[in-house]
Amino acid sequence: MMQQILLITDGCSNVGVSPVIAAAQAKTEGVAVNVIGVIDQGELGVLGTEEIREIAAAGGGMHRIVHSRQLSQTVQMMTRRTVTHSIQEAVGKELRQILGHAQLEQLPPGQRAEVVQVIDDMSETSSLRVALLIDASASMKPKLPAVREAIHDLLLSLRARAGTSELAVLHFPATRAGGDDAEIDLDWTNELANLDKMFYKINMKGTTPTGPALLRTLQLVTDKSFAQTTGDGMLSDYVV
Amino acid sequence: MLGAGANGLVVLVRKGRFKYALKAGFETVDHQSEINTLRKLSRTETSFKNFLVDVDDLIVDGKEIPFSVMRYIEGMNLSQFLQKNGRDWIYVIGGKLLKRLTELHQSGFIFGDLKIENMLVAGYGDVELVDFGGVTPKGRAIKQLTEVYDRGFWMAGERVADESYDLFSFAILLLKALDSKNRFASFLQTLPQTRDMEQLYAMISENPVAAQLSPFLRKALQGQIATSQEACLLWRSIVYHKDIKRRLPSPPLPWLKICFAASLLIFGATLYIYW
Repeated sequence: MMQQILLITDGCSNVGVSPVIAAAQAKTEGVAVNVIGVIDQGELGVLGTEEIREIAAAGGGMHRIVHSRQLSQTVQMMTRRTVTHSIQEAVGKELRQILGHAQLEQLPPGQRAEVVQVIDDMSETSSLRVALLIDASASMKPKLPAVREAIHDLLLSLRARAGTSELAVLHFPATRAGGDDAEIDLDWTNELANLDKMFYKINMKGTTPTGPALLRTLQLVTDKSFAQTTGDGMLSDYVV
Repeated sequence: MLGAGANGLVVLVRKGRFKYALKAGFETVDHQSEINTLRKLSRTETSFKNFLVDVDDLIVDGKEIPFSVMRYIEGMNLSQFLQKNGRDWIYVIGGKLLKRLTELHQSGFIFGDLKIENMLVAGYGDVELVDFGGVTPKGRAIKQLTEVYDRGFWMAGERVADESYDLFSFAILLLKALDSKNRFASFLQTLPQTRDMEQLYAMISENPVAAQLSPFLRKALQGQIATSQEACLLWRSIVYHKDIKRRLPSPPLPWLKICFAASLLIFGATLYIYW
């Protein structure tokens, strides 16, 4: 099962644990973290660009800075490439075990064709879970229509795959004060939903808790519920 | 030179563009023992695979010195990494170190001499264990240890190689890495009679990051975590819950409601007084 988190943001995180750490944690759990910086007027700056690059590096994923016009195609491209990349890595590992190397170019053409065919087939048929995490700070408001379109397009592509695919959408910061670090707008689905009302009632606040939001998304992706304990009421340790 | 320990020297060597670590052993038996362990590990389907690259003897001044060549590990020690990149990285690093330990334990070995100097951190929290001189098969006596990390030193258990032994050292390792006041220096001076685990527990509550890890650390120090797999799960749940802990202190008072209620009370009192 391939698992990805795709973070769409337009600024720096400014509260909570570092998103780079959260991304490193995701990678540890086998979830790739890709980042798209959406800027329409060059508001990202050096710090924001650097942070985006680091989050993707720690999360073992890709990053791009694009205009909201290119958002849809970038989302699809990244999702697809991440799947292929993960499969290539897995296949490469197997090759290394058998042949001692993972260089496709060193294989004779016949074998190379077979290996690439396997990669293609697996890319199409493997199960895939993608969680889109949207930065809903005030500056993102004008880009939200582009985000909705990107979600719709991604759903279409995912539905077309042979393997089971699921999409979830979350945004941060959460609308209700004192709630989760990220709010779920769309729970795991591959049904084409009416997205017009999505992000309708967002409370645009000043904080950008990217790190905590990433951790919350990671939880959703790996399907572990908040209250998971090792069987002896661990949460009770927290009620001080 | 990469390092010098009780049982040998380690130097960086190159073959073409590849780097390796060459370890020359002082004591033949100890060195060979370590090589035997490394050889077994190098054959497993774990991250330790192909760790050991070559084994041979050198003749220096008429004396034969055994040496082994291992994979070269880049990185800095945990304290340096946390200082450079921030203490919050302990969550990712701890998880990865536990994974390494789990792999080792599943291969039938206990690391034994787990300490800050025997692990390297690189990249985004990637962990590698180095110096396998203390690795012991499960059930045997621990053959190489460092006092402060040894649960025998703290009278908290036997020096028999089992998973909870490594987990105890793991907890000490974390505390030491987070120990900004260098309390551990004083622990070494204590006599057995005055040594007390309470000093460790005090350290845990006084250090902000350690306090967040408190449930795990306490359990590990008390030997209540039997396997490293259990430890991995416990650790993971802490990583996710630490943000809850920050919010548990009571929610902000609803000032508006309180003032409204107060104004109603005052209004009622006023009416009562004037009628």
